[in-house]
Amino acid sequence: MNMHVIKNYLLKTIIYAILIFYSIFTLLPLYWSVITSLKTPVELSKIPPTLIPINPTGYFYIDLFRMRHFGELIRNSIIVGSGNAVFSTIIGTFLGYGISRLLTSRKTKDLMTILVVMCRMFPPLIMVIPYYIILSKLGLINTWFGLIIVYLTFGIPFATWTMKGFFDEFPPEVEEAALIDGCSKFGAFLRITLPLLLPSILVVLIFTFLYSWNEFLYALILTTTYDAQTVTIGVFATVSKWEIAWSKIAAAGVLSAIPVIIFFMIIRKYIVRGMTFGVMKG
Amino acid sequence: MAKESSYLKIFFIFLPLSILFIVSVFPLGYSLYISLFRGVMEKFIGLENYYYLVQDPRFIDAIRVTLTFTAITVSSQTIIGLLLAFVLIQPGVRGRSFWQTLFLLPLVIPPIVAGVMFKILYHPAFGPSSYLNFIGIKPPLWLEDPTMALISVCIINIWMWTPFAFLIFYSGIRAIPQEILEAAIVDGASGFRMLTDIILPHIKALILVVVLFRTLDNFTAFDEIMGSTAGGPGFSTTTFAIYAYKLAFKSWDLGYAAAASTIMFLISVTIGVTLVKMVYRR
Repeated sequence: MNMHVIKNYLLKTIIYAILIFYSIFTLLPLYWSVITSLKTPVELSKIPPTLIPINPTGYFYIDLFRMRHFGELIRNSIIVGSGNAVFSTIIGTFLGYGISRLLTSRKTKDLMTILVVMCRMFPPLIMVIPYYIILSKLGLINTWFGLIIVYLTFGIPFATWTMKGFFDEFPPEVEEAALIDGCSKFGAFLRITLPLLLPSILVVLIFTFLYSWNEFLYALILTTTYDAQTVTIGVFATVSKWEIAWSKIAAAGVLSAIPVIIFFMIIRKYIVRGMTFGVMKG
Repeated sequence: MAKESSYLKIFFIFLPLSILFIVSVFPLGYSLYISLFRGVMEKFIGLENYYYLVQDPRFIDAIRVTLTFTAITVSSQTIIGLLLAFVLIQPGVRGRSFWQTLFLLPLVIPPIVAGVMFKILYHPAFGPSSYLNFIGIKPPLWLEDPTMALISVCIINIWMWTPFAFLIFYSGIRAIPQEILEAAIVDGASGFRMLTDIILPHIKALILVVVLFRTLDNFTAFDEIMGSTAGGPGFSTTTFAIYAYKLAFKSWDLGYAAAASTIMFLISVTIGVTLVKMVYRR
């Protein structure tokens, strides 16, 4: 009896120890970047490092905007991310609907789905080399539009897969009722199904935006100046150019992570759907 | 009616699928074509690039680094993800959705930013490991020592993607009918027995899926390595992707780099097909 209580207590302790330990591991890089970004150079050289900045300064954040064009970089990330989100979601919604509703044979359905998922599996590195030549020929290097096109390579498969899942779950009876009322199939899609699935479409929009915001390799090679470079490139530039300015590097990292963390908090209910692309329906 | 349906198929399947193929399958084919040239499409040399590649010691070395990196990260992510999911489903754990949200946070952080944040965390002077000096332990040279550097970049990737494994296992375990788990508790099954006898058989397919997706992704890891070590010191963290990137956009030998990325792609397809076969054999 007593043994049982002790055993239970011990088990609980182990469980919470694991949970707390992993939480610290998860938060430590973020926390350390935040405090490093707020420290003055004098405080940064203190031994041992302070855990909470004594004299926090926002200087490095302001400097990013003044000297490193972070205003422009954020603007570019927003434009490219929104452009990609809109195009990918539109194309993905159509294709997702097509696969879910217009294909009757189970086999073609599966084949199409696998084809779409496979497109997401092409490693970016194999795509970036041909895209460098293609965009050069089209004069689209260092443009928002060029980057948006390239981002469709991961945007469309993701949007298609996710929307297909939403359509699969949406009861077909709703549309059938509209058809009986004299609606065409396309009319039913446009006036009945789409409005009802609006929240799902919003989720897809946010996730494609997020994926674009986080993208690095394509932007590194296909953009060259802050007219089109994105935030991730700005973060990388602080590392490669001012290896010594650690607080500025930290500030750039924190600044670029803030929007995605906010988005994460908004859509955390849908995170299973957005992050397990290709694995399960959610 | 039949006519309408074929129009719909053009609009909902043929058109969006063509766009997807133009943006992703076409560049893939073009990349194969580029790999038959020297430099930036300068001279047609047939398969010469491939001939040199298989004898290139740096390339062989990059394969070795990539395979080591993939083996360490995928196995760690699977095991830790499983452990976290198993711990979190234990009866009586409080604040499940809080822990879940916390653990998932790294999934939305831009990978390049994760690399940069860990670079700060690994810093010998103002990183947390400098505290070890005070208890008489010499902190590891995280990014300076060649062997340690590879482990350090593995840790970054593990930090980024363990949440993915956790998320899938956690959802999978929660989908196991409650009666089965309760019956096991009533029968007096210990935690360990429950894991081996009930949970593992139920999520066997999911484990393979996690291994498949993580293998394919980690095999082409680029961002977090670029952000922390950029392939160094020496060539100790130069994976496939880093090597091909340097060939293409530092040495400007696009043909050779395209050939390297083609071989990388073929290897990952082979791994992928093998794993998919395992998943669907069951």
